[in-house]
Amino acid sequence: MKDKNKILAGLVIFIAAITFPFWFNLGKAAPAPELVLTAKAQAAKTCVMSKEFMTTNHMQLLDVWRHNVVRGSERMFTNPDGKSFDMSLSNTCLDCHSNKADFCDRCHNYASVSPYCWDCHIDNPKGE
Amino acid sequence: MNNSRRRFLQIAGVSALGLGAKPVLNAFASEDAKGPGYHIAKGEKAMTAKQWAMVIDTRKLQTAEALEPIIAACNKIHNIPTEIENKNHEIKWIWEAHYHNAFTDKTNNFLNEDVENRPFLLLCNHCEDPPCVRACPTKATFKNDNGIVMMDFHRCIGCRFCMAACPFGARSFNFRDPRPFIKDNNKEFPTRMKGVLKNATSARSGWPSASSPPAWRPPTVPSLSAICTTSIRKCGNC
Ligand code: SF4
Ligand code: SF4
Repeated sequence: MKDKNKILAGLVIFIAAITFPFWFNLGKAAPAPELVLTAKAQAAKTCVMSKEFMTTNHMQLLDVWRHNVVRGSERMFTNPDGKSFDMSLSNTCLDCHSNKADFCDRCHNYASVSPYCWDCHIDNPKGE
Repeated sequence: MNNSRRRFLQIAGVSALGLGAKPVLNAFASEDAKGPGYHIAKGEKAMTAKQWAMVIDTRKLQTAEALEPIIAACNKIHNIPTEIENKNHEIKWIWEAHYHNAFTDKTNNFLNEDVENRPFLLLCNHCEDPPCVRACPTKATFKNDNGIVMMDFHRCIGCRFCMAACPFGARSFNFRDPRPFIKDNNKEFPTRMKGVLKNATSARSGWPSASSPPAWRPPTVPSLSAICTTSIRKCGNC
């Protein structure tokens, strides 16, 4: 046990090093991103479902859409208010939300998720 | 002493399990009770068929020039990368072929020269019993209710079994990201990503589209059937 001091010093350095990211970022939590709605999205007032539902469930809903459209040839979505929509990411969602960078990307970057929708779907159908 | 201690641990364990399961059960219960309240169905104008079929009147397409606008329209509507120079990486949805390549089992020594020298349009046949579907290990390629052989890109793993299985060469593999090679993006139709297969499935936008509402069809680009206002291409249910 002659090396007790060395071991302790080493341990302290080790713990300091691995906890570095935590205390370095302490008190600097990134602010939640503000989403920008296009004029068209604002005018529409509500999305295909309620805002709360879309915030928490849009990924599940999109998954249901893609499954039913591709595998079941079902393209008509009727929401609880009885309004119908064509189930299409490119032509329905992006019709209003034509600002991917300020609408989709902000939150996705914040949450550090990178959905691969855009590998195939062209993100700006309006060409704006 | 020993016994009661074991008993205590058993009860504690079961209680912990019960407490942990409660929120999960609640979540299931509430989903059942309320549900998201939406409804999904086929479109009102959706057409159904047992097996869609398309006939091409080859007598009306005598020269390669006559095929060109048809091929160009298909490529444009479906975002086909036409600028890929390497032939091995080529993506084909609809293409021109010689009689001997188009009808390999229908050649004889004394063919009508006119027919023999005519160019033919080839595309995926949407086979009745498609070998590509049988070969696909993930069911990414499947036959839908209307007899259309579809590709679910979301599921394709890029193994290329279907490519080997298709006797008609109707499958192309996206060896490269196709987007830089598309001349003119049709923004209403997806492109593909690197590593997935493609058959001419979505020739369906020229079909009396089995499932797609008209919105799916780009308004500015005439679909194949619109170009073929004569009876060159006919579709129907068989
Ligand atoms: S890809 Fe080939 S095997 Fe599959 S349906 Fe088309 S022609 Fe038939
Ligand atoms: S490449 Fe894709 S579609 Fe073809 S067999 Fe493999 S998983 Fe199926």
